Amino acid sequence: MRLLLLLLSVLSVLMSCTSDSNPFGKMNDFDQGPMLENLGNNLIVPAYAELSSTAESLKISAQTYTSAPSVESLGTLRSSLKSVRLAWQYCSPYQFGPAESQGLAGLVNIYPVDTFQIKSNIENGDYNLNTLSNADARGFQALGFLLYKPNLSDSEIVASLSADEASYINEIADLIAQVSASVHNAWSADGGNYLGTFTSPDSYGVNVGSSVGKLINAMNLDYERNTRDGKIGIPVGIRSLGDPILHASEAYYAGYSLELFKESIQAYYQLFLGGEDVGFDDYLKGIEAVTTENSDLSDRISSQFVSIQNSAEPLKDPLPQQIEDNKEQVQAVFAEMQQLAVLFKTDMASQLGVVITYQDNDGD
Amino acid sequence: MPLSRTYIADHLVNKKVTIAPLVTFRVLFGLLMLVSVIRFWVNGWIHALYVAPKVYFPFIEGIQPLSGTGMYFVFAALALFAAFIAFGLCYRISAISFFLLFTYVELIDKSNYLNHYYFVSLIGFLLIWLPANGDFSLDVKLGLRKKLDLIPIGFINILKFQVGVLYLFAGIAKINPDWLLRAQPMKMWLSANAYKPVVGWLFRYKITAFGLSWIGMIYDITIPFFLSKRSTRFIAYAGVVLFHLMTWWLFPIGMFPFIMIAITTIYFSPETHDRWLTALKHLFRWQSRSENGQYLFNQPLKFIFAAFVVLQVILPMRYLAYPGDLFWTEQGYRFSWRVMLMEKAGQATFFVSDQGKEGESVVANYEHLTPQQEKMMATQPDMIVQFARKLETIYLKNGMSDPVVRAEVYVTLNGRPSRLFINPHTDLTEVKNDWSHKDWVLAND
Repeated sequence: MRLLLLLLSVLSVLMSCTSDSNPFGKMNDFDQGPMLENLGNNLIVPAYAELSSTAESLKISAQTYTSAPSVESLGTLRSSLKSVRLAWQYCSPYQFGPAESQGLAGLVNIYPVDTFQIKSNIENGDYNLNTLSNADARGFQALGFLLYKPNLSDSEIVASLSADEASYINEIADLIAQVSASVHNAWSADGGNYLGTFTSPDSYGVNVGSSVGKLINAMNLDYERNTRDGKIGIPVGIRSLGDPILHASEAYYAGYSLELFKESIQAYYQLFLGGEDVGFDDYLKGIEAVTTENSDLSDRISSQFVSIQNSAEPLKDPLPQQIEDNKEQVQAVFAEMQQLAVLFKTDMASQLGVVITYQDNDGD
Repeated sequence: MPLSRTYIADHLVNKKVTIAPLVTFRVLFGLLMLVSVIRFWVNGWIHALYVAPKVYFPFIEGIQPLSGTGMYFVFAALALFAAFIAFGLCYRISAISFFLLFTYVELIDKSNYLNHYYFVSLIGFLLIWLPANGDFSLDVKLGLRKKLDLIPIGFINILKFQVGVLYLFAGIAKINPDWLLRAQPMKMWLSANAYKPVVGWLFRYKITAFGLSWIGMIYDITIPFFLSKRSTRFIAYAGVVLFHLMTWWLFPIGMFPFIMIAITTIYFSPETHDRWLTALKHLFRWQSRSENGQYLFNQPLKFIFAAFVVLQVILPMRYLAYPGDLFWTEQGYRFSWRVMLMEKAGQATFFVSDQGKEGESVVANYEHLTPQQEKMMATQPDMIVQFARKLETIYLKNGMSDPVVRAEVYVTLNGRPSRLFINPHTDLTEVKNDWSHKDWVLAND
């Protein structure tokens, strides 16, 4: 008993020299439930609904264009393509669950496409767009290639449309519409209700199987590979000793790479803020008491988003032209994005305690 | 009481006791290893950790996984030898094979390093020298070896020493300002558990983190002593069970808690083990043979154990020979029982250029490494160099004449804001990667 008292008094003396201002307070005052509800109901499901409906319009526009080719119907199809691509930017961070199991990203947004493969598919007429061998010959950019044929005027493009090409366009658009609808259905409450799984208390926590764990891991992966490297880094030459690879840009043929990029950053920013409601910014604030030094992590990430947006502001489409005229500015955008990747992968992941594998570990 | 050399030698080393503790230890260890290997297999980790990766981070350059289905055979053999150890069949050969194979697997990739794997290797090594098949074993049953009744107490004490060293150094390592005064990383770890049912709310409070940090430290340091004393043993063991079940429930640390719960029974008295063994024998209708044997220490074995003991004390303290913050530089961190001690996360960006030429490429780590490897590599300097050297080889093949590899690495330690970890201008293909001090790791202050 005396030992215990001694221990307690030593403990209280030591507690008083801790850097913590209030050692009896809370270190986690955040509930995942409302955040998951908000993200699921107000961001993720609407994003997939938008993707699904724009993809459906794309399919219809493609049918109209191929059955009655004209400069006008070509224009409609092009704007449908752009809408679905913009909608995609809001789905890209959510490649887990149904989207992952259905391979959504690989079916809709692969770039750069293999134009030889596309041409030979059209010529041979013997292809299955679902196979791996056609992984580089489908999706948005394959359509983009056929709708914005380099060096041809609009009327020349319309005139050049063959029956085989028309059916290829329809096949691609059908596949995009079908898989988008399928993922949307899997998420929605009156369909597969993955939303229910995502928001269920069983999915709380930060382990690999948890909703936050899945979301953070999917988001980091997509941000790093597709947004940072895919949209900006690789075109500006980060993989090629600084020599730009212009044709690696997203929407290379359609020419609105930067518009898509800016939308993508906006989508990430929105996800971080949870839209109008509770998001990861609140989560980080809710656990900010965990470390005194990091109390501003949430604000730091927010301001990093703004830095990316500011550095991208002066850039105007098309991206290849920007890279040739003003490479330093594009590289500056990459550098800002790199800083956000550091904040995501080190500070934020560590503070949230997100686990990346099922493997055992002993915390070192 | 004369604490003379002969007294110590008699009571710690030579005194004869029943072989029972060694036998129950053997059975428990063998069965636990069997379960561990099966669990590893069923979880798909053989493929994920030893087949799928394109790059490995071996402890000794040149050690690599077998190709094709080779690693499956290694794990099948491990399971077999673990079972043989439990049953005491071809014991010596099984123990040697288990130790060699297990250690080989652990040496393949630093990303998979766990203190408890190291512990298993050490126990495997010790078992080679201990006649744990001297009773209640198929070897005795089949007449492959004589039954043993008595063994020198040193055989049991070396195992107690190993368990004690683990706890003691794990506890000492926790005496640091972050752990005790900031309750970090305990705060982050517990906070992540705030969504658990029933008691989750407890993990929202800082006081819980402070409490558990201190309890953890005191537990680790004192438990070997409380287990050693007869009067406190029972309550101490209850503490062991409770403590490890709690860590198992809270943290993703796999089999470790169960290994410790099973293995700390070595601290129970030889008489208790004798009772357990009798019960076991009864259960399996074990017919004892009548002959009784004794096993004595021989001089070389004493030398081996003495060297083992010295090494076990020196290794965890080798960090004192390095300048800088141990948690930051990790020079002397592994093989030192620093279990569940810190939280580190990093992001490493590698840049490759050809010596004397224009232009620099950024490496896509994800094209070469698994997420787990990338995570582990980004915070550990020796792995950063290993990866840089792999990149050097790759880029040489791709036509560069003298690749220069540098890295911008940001690391956060125990919840502090991330900061630059190594000198971003150092050509990592030119630095030494041995036990000498790595002066290109930046200071953490």
